[in-house]
Amino acid sequence: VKKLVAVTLGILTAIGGFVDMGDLVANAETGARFGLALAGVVLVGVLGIVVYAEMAGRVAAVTTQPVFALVRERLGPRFALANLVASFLINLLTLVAEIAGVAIAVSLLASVSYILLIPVAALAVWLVLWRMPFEWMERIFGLCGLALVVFIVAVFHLGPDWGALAGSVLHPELPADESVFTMAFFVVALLGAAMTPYEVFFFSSGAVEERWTTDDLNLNRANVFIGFPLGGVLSLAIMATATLVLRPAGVTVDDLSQVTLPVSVALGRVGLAVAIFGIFAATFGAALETSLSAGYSVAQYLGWAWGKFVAPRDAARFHAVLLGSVVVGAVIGLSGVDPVKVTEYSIVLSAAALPLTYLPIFVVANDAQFMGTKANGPLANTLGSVYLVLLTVIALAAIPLIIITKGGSG
Amino acid sequence: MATMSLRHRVAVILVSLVLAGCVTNPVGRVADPADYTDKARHTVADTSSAVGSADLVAGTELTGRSFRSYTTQVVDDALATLITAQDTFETVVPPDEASAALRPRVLDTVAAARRALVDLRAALAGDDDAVARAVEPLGPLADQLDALDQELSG
Repeated sequence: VKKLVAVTLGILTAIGGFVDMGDLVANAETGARFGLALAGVVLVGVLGIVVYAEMAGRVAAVTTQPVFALVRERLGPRFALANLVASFLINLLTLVAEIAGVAIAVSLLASVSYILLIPVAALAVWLVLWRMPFEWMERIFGLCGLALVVFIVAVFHLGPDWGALAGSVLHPELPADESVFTMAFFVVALLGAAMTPYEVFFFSSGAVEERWTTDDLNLNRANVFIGFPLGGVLSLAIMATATLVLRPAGVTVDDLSQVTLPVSVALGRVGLAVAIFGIFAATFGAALETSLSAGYSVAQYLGWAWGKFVAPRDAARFHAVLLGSVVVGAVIGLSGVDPVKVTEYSIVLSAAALPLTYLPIFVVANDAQFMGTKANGPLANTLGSVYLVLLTVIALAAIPLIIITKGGSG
Repeated sequence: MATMSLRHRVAVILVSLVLAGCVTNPVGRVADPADYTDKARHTVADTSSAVGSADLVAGTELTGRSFRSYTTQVVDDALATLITAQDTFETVVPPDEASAALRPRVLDTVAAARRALVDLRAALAGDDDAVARAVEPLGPLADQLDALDQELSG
């Protein structure tokens, strides 16, 4: 029974922790501008993160080492450094967006400018990182993130024409006021949001923090194969509510406050409060994950002691990176940069760095020297290869699309 | 001064291009009238979105489905979006006579939308009757913006 409870909690945590600021913005904006024409891209992205998170979790459980340490060992310090620099910078950009997301969520109910709340949000993030045990932290914010289920309830409450919705998914059309390039930009954004690099770094390092062994491979599979796809359903629900409410009103998503507007229309004050709470939990949880990922990547590359399972005084440099990342993230947020634009750029630039993140995982998971009998099978290899090709194409297209579409604006 | 390696030059060019791309609505003279019309269409679309957002949230407020603090924030955000679009378009110099004629039509409509949103924002400090009165002009404004958008798209 204890094992079943642990698995169920793990799955629920994975569902609740799946959505972050990038998913909120990308899915709502895509729904408002393209309807459900790009829903299939979310499914492709979810399958991709399932394939690679399973590999990363398996590598961590078998070797009891996180992916980043193995990347350096297997592919050498130069490649690992390029990987580190790219992922760290994108991670920092994502952290800026997440801290701003926490502040905005509070400001929606508190009537205070979100800028004033950024230092408070950053301090709260750091205190949780400093004081709360890893498992508690992961579970509390993951489970609170389940409040976003309110978006699914809102879809049903809005009473859509299901046939028309399914038709728009199966037969996607380019809206008259959009170009092929803006559509391609949002394809890249959705994939970047679903497969953000920090997710696998956090997932594999978290597995080491929780001292996974080969006995936990089933827990890994349950989290990834059940939790992540159900988390993807939350993303689709956010897209669907924007399609049903914002798109007919000609409203595009420029601010986080608009993401919850369809829930308010469908479910009223209670639904709105739950949705805002869900956004708070999702962005707070993601702020913790991105901060930790920053610390993990640097400490694992440089061979420092790392992790929340180590006493802070024994992992002082790791905690210094955490604190430094949160402070830098807050300072950038305080500069007044548009959080939605930062989010858009972070997810599209994430897409540009995806092969750099996923190639090493693929190589290590396929290496019998590290993995023994738990190395990739034919299915994981086939899917992994297909995704690497896809991600390379996406990576090559990402920066030209930012330039051509002026950041997706048209 | 040390010369940059080819790799560094490529990196500098790439970063410059990305930063240039980040400027969504560069200001100054636009050489191409079609480009000016495109900017006008974007300005109208952004304004229309802002008005639609404010109208939607005000509707939920009046039917008891929203919190006043949330409604106020959404209207503030809509106003900020509109002002950015207005300020950016105002600084673009029209390249020919047709563009010069288009300019006041767009800016007058956007200014009317801005006034309506400011009125709504002010009304949110009062009671529901004041909010209801402030919402009334939003519907006709949205129609006006849609018509202009269609004209510019055609």
